[in-house]
Amino acid sequence: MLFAIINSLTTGMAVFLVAAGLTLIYGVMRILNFAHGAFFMVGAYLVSSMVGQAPPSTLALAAAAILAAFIVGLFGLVVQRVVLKRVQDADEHYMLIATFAVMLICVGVVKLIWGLEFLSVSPPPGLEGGNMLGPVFVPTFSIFVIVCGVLAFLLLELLLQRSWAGKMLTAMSRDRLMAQLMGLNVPVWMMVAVGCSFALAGLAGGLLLPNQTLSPVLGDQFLLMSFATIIVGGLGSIRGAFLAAILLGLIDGFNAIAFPNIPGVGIYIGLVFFLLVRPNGILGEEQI
Amino acid sequence: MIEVSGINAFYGTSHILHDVDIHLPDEGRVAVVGRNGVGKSTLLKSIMNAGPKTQGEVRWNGESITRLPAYKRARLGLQLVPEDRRIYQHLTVLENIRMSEFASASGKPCMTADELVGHFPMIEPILTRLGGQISGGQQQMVAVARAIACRPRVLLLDEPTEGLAPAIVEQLVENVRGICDAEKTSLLLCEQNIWFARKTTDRVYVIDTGRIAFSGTWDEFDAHPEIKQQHLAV
Repeated sequence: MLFAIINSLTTGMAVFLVAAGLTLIYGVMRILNFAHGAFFMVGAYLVSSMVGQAPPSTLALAAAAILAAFIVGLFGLVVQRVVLKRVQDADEHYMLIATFAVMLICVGVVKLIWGLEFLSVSPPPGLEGGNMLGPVFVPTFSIFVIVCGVLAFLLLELLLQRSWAGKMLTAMSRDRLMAQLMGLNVPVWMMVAVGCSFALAGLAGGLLLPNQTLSPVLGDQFLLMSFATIIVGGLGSIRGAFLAAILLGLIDGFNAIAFPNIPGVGIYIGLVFFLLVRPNGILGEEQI
Repeated sequence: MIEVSGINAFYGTSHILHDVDIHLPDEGRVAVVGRNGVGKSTLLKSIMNAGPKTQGEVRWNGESITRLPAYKRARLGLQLVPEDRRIYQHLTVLENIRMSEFASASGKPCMTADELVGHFPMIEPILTRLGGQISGGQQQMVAVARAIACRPRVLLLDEPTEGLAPAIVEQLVENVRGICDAEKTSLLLCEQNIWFARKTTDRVYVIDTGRIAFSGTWDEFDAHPEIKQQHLAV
């Protein structure tokens, strides 16, 4: 049972790491970014190229992930400049099509650079193996993912709720017009938000790389889970995404134990259930 | 100071303003009065480039600012207090006011909290409260305080008296006049409350269905009672 819960939390936190950036960009810019999963994947591939299939140490993995976050963040600025900026005032459908196109391009480029074959990367020494937590075997890498997820959540909360820049970002997401009237350089703040969102995707890709099978469809799996998470949590809410990630992780874990022959269905049943009960998400009224 | 010439403004396909000309002189105080929905708010938003699509020209001290985005106009020293106030609910009153530092024009230091409280004694006890926890009257005071905190050259007020108790409206007259005197701020006011407009401004434009129907001093306005009858009576 405890094993199942820890597994669920691992899934949940892994998804949260991806969903955080997705909900952030929605909160600030009202964009449903279909390309988010693809950039998550780019982060993972970048880190795999940097550290190889057997990362030398946890520190090397973390450093590579941060570097990947930075690079993917820069890609985000380019995407904002070239694509998002042009469609931000257009109908939502255009935004969806535009980000979908970015996703396709991104996946295509990944195939060109890294090829179609599956890659796998093992956890670095220090994160491999596991520990006995009482009677239960817990993979060290699971603990690493859970710690990363919780840290990312606390850090984002702290930045958005307590720092002046975070407060301004929140202000801009709640009332962009007033922010402009107050003299905020809204386009620049938008760039910052998009850059952060993409960087989060890249970071998540790097951190979650070990134990994943790296292939050009990696982005899709996480994208679907992340969308489910931010919909259940309430679009644009970091706190909601955190709660929903845990909830959906638990549902998925329960699914794996109770109905092992139909894996992954629980998430969607959960999604439908929450849409019926709380169509605006758990914390739908809250923003960012 | 501000010269608006031949402004046409649109929301989607609806044409709100028709060839509107407005002149706000240096340190001038001008009112735009008119019934609900004739385009007063649209005029102020057009001057800020905040919302409606506009054609025509806005000049600032003789220079065209027609292409400047809203935030740059704010940094020139134009501050609009929108009619719905738009106080940030998740920020404290002081933080709401501090935000105006982004609009601080050409290095002029913003007012300290004490200085601001000097103009608006009413906000002193609520400085640390969240924007979502104050009354409508207090929100209006905070909205004006926030706009003047960084000493704008021009204050654009959109229906500041809307929904305020008469005692607070009287208070607001004193506040607005006090600030404009002390800071040499020009004022462009859109109002339905003629009494308030008369108390705070020298000249008046009457606007009806997106067109300027009259412009002149308040004495000239009074000399033509038919204007009131035709364009302002409900």
